[in-house]
Amino acid sequence: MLNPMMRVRRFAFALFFLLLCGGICQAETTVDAAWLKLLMYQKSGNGYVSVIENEDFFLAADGRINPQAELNVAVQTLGREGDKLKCTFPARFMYLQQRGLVQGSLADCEEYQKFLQDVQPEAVTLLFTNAYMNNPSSLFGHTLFRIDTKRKGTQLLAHGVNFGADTGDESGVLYALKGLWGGYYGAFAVKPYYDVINLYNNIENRDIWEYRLKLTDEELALFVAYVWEIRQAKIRYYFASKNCSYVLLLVLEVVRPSLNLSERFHWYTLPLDTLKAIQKEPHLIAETAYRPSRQSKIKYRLAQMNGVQKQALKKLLRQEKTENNLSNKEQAEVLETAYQYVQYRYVDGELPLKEYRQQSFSLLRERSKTATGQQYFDELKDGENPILAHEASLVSVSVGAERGKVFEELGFRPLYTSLLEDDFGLLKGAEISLFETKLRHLDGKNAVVLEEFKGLGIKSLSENDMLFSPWSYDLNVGIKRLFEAKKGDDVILADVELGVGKSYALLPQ
Amino acid sequence: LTAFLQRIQPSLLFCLKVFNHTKNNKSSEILKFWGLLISSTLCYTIGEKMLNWACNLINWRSLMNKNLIKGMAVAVIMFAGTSAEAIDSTGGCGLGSMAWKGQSGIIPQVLAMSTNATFMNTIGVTLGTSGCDPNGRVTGGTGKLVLAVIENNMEQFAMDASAGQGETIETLAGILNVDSSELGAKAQANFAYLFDNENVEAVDVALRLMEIANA
Repeated sequence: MLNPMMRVRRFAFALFFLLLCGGICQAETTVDAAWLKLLMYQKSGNGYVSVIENEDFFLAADGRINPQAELNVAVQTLGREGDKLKCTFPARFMYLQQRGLVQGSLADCEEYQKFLQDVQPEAVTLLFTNAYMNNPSSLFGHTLFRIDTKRKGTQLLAHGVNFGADTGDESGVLYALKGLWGGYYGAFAVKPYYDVINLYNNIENRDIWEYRLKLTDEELALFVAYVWEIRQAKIRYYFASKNCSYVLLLVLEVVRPSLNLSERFHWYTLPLDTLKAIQKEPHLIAETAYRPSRQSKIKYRLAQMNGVQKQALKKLLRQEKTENNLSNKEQAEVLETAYQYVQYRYVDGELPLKEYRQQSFSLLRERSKTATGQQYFDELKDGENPILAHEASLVSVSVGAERGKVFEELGFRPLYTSLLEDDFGLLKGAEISLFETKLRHLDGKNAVVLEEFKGLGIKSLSENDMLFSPWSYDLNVGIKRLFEAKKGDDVILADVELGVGKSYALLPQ
Repeated sequence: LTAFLQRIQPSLLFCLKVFNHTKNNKSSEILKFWGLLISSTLCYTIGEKMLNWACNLINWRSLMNKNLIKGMAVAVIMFAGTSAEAIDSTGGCGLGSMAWKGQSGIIPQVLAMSTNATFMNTIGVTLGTSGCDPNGRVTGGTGKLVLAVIENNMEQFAMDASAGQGETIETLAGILNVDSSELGAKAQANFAYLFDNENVEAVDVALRLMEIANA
């Protein structure tokens, strides 16, 4: 027997649900994994919270922490006739539509249709740009998406989709700290692929690897809709863990909810590791393409040249008049390489604008007069696929002698690579170690001591050759054990080291 | 203080080597010497007067009393005083246009764009606002597309035109709906017309290319 008060409550409760569902509740609408991924919910205690932080991304008032409420409101609002709300959230609309929860189409969304018309999506490609030693935030490479285009011609007219932190004007120490502790928000940006190429290939001289993904038509449509929808999302950006590569995995999970890629990454997310994770998924990467940086191209061309061509190139770059008996083809190769090199120097800041223009111009004039058949250079087409590079963590065991006494050493380096390891697919001559720790057992003392803790160690040995003369450097910050003769004992030292120099290849590569 | 800290450049580390090898035996004397040499070389390459001075000051102090903490304090203050100018984040319309249009901003632009992080904010955080198109998208009809491609890929297009082939030629042929090798041959033959002087504007190149293509 219920008391009247309880009855009223029950009635109110039922009424509340009726109002909430409004007659659409015939279909069972409970939250599934795809919905959780679509709004980037992650488990938090007993409930969920979305990594997307701005409230206007959610339709329900408590949508960020309540997937069910968000779903209910979405079912109610996105299907309303004549309502343009669906145009802001086309991915959510598509999700509901596929499940028969809403009617209608996105055809009346002008802005969104315009976007589709510009993008003309054909496929999605995952891009990896390799490491860039001149910038700490690029040491481990970078990943972004490309929406391949159906347009006639090449993929120059495709669009890159990049997730990056909005760091304002800050730089230096605070920038790094804030970045690590999530002081910045990240957001998505879309830009033409030729801009992406210019930035990575031509300005930063980084190779681009293109991994075309095998997506179904529905998945592709959802991807594009999601790019549109998520453009207004604010996601906290953590340089080490929830970075560009991590968020890209979340997007892939939206598109194909059966994927569980992101859950493997907790403390840090290396772009290369995310690539490897994607590679391991069956039927995800369809084909791989390589787009060498300007510097890689020049180096390759130089390696192909004969001695006379190299001499001619040298003279040309010194702007000396040359009389040579090169064939048309050979001459064209020299001119094009010289032009690329002039571009390189200009971007590198070694050449003032006026000279740069004048030199480029005369080189190309000359080139245009050097008619050849269609095929001259055997262009660089393939590189070392970074997916095949070694894993980042290293455990080492060593035995040696120190001042006549035997020691055994145990080392652990969580990240990333050293000169002793196979550099296939990685930057040549680069060593990056983070938190490398070495413990030594000294037989003479029968004691275990800390041999070294390397918080950060970077070595960059870049080869000098005919055209390039980069500096090599070495940077170490950590703690080290050192034998001090005066004291006759070990001391532990805080250690900061820097070396600068030049590197030359002793043997031809 | 925050403002000061923000402006410390990583190069601060370069100068610190000096302290760490100031010990009294012979071998470390040599190390110290190298340390000095290296740091002064670095300062020279960085090429800023104040920076140079800062480094010299640290070296001098380290020789005087080997006090790391004091040395660092000096370094911080000096670097705050010399800190690099604010990064010029004029996004512009890509590398090509910058170089050929005469806006000599490429180096600041490279600085501004060189991280994955700042890459975003120079170009625009929201979807779009890149390059010349406010939406950051490849958009518009034939003429607009031709201009966008040429303007944003001027260096590459100039080279492809002189060679009579290449990715930009293929792209433009696609937009103009003409045969790519034909367009390449025409561009090469008419290179001197397309690029009549070294300060040529992208708009003129685009117009001339369309004229050639339809001829």
